[in-house]
Amino acid sequence: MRVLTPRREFIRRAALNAGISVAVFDFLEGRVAALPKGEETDIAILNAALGLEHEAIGLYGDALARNLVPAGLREYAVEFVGAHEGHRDTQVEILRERGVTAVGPHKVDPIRETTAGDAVLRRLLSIEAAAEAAYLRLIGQIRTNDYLLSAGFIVVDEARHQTIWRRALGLSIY
Amino acid sequence: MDASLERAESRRGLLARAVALVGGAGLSTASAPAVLGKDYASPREALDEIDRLAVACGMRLGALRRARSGAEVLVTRFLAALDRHRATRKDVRSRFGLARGVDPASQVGEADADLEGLRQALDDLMIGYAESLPVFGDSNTVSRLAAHMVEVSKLRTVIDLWVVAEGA
Repeated sequence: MRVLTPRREFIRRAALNAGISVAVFDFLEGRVAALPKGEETDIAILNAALGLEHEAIGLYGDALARNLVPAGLREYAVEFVGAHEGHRDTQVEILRERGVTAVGPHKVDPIRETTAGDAVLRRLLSIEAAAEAAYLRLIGQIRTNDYLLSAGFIVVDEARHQTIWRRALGLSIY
Repeated sequence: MDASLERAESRRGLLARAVALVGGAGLSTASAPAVLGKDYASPREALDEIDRLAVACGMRLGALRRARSGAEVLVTRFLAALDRHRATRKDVRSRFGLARGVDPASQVGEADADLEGLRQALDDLMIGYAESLPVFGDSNTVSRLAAHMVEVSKLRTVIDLWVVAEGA
């Protein structure tokens, strides 16, 4: 029986929620080694990345609205949700320039915890780790320079977020 | 606003400018160097610049190790990461049939041991990687260099947290 890790399960769910293409989904799952070159692939990647950003924005929004982020770390969560909104807007704009309507936000499962603590931080970390992994997996498949440049700046942001949550949880950085 | 948040804003500003650059905001490709700093013309130019920036980071890490005995473990790990990255760039040069890059041992000079300077050097290296990605036109190379870029971002964040902690 095939068991999905939480990270892979997160990517899978976000991908399915966002309605991404089968080709990108198979690539993220490691069932195909490369994607076909071209504009269509970039658009599929953009929509997949948007699904991840929507998921992250939804989870951070839930955590902040319900005061689930420990007090001393709240400003980071505020910063990070702003960053994810920036990533979303960037990729929506790139799609718009290509004449494509971006996928909208999907319903995000609320965080199960009811009090602030490490479990919530681990949930936020899992989003960042999944986003970083997905961007790193997809970045080599991007064919257009404008999106490649933007994706580069986005993934270093995801790495920063992940590092801060890992340090807060006392985990090694990589 | 907290200093770390201001820096984050700055990075988002850079991203926004990148988008503006490519988003038909009235900027031509020729404006790229002025807006983003670098628009590499060739893989060799990009790798040379990354090598130079990485050497600068290495020299600052060496100075930090000499100045602060408590930084030994961290510096050793960081230098090991930079060494791995250099080995990969050497391999990329070979793949593209390019001349060898900068030998870090050949670089002499004084570097400051201050954390802010090291953070800036790592920032410069990280941005150098990001700006280089479009020039390679090769999936494998882009993936490998992007992975290094992400590691540099993590190293930079650790130093950033250190700076913030010392300032608190």
